[in-house]
Amino acid sequence: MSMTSTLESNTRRVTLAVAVVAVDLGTKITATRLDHAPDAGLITPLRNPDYSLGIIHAESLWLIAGTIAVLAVAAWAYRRAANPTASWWVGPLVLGGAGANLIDRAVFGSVHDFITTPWVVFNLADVAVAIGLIGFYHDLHTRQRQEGRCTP
Amino acid sequence: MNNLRNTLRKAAIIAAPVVLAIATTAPRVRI
Repeated sequence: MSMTSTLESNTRRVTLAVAVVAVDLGTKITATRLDHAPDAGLITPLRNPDYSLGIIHAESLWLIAGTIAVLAVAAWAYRRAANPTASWWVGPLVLGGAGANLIDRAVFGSVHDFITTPWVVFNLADVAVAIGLIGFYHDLHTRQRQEGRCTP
Repeated sequence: MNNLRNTLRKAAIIAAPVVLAIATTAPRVRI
């Protein structure tokens, strides 16, 4: 890959990650303001001080440190694996979504959720991470299928 | 030995995104 195209693809990755952070934080702020509306329909602003679905409960500082540690290990492993069939948007979606929730937790001590379903309330950063991870499993499946075809 | 290593590697690759999802997302169960 040439230096220009590497720069272009890195710019594209950074742009997507920053866009995810901006859109997520923007919608969280908007949803918090909608809280005062008499009927916000599918929007119920709540705050989650814990990890996903309350699975792990701890001081916010420990949760922030945990997220950074998990992200660092994941980024190292992902780069080391260097999957040639990997989709360019997987890393930026996961990193952007994780970063947005991390900023939220660091600033407010908890994460803002607002998109309401009968079972859980979530935010756009959660959606970005979920799409990114589905993309990761899809890339993994594609690579394994290709390797299976190559080896006799 | 190699088989065990491969199985552990595959298990880690499949489990890692689950750990990542738990640590980076924050959906809340509705009360």
